[in-house]
Amino acid sequence: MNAAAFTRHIRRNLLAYIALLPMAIVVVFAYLGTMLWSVRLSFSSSRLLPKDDFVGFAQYTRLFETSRWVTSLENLAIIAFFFLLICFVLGTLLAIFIDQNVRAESLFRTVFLYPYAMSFVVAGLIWQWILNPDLGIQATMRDLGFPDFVLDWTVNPDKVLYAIILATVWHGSGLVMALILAGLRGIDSQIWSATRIDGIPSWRVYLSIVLPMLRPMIITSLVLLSISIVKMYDVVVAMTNGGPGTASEVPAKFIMDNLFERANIGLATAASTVLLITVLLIMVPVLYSQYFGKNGRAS
Amino acid sequence: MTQSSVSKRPVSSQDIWGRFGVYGFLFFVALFFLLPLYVMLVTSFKSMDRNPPRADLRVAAAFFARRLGQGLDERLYRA
Repeated sequence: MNAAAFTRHIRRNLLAYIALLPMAIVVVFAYLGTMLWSVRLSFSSSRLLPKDDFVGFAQYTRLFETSRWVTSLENLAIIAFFFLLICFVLGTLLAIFIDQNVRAESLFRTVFLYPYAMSFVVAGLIWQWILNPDLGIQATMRDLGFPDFVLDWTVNPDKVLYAIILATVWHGSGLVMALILAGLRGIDSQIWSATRIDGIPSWRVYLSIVLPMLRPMIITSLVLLSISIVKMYDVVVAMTNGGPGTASEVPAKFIMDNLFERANIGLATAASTVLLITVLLIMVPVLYSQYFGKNGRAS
Repeated sequence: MTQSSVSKRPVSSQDIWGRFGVYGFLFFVALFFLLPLYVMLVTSFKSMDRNPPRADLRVAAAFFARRLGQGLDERLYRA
């Protein structure tokens, strides 16, 4: 673009640029600015209040010597794996089954999607009631005459992650269902006619033809679910508050605790920087391939 | 054309079992999704003294504190 064309471009789009300016300022100062500020703080020795000194990677060394942080990372990995897997499989199955011309389709859709409208605090609290050994299913079953029935997921350190995964799957799989269902409705019916003429069983059509065609939907739902995992904080606080012991600690909770309760701003910002880098390492290739891959639509 | 090609086709037993499976799966998953809603509604209609049974909670807290041999979350005692 030469200088004259550039001037013409600016002149023609001046109003648009002016209209975008407030948003750009907010993004640069509020989003990127705070991000850079917290990265800067992670290299300082800040405790209760931010400090301006520079201690290198001391906070990061300390962070990975903290067993609570290492535990929370392991928990996050376990939760992320099972949550993504179960949510995606369950959501896709629900979408496929709803797409079979069932009666009361809108009823089923509402039932599967309404958890997503609930906040994580509500979801965590209700599941905490249900799984509480003295109030929920275990107590009910024992009252019904099964005195040895045990369902102690929220108080058993080995199983507390299952409880978290259960609540988050309940919350998130409706979103996958909605996205995949929207994609299924966009599939050309001629594809179905063609496969029926060829006599291909429908599970094979879904697996080999339809799901690959829904790649954008699948990537979108996985990205949204991953984001909800990384920022998962409220559901853990509502269900177990990180307990029993540290069995259900997650990184976001570690960051909040150190930032606001334990007066460890340096450690908390180091943790959030590690989390940010992890997210970027995972998200950037995915988003890049989705938007700028050889089949991408963005130019 | 009074009938669509789908309804003209004789219904095989395999189709019926297929429909049964579809509705069965949707029904049971719907139960799972509706369980918290049911609990929320039922809890909201209970009287004050049953909701929540705090005495039970305190007994449970003492029990687990003894069993685990460690300090228990003080939220339970605050109740």
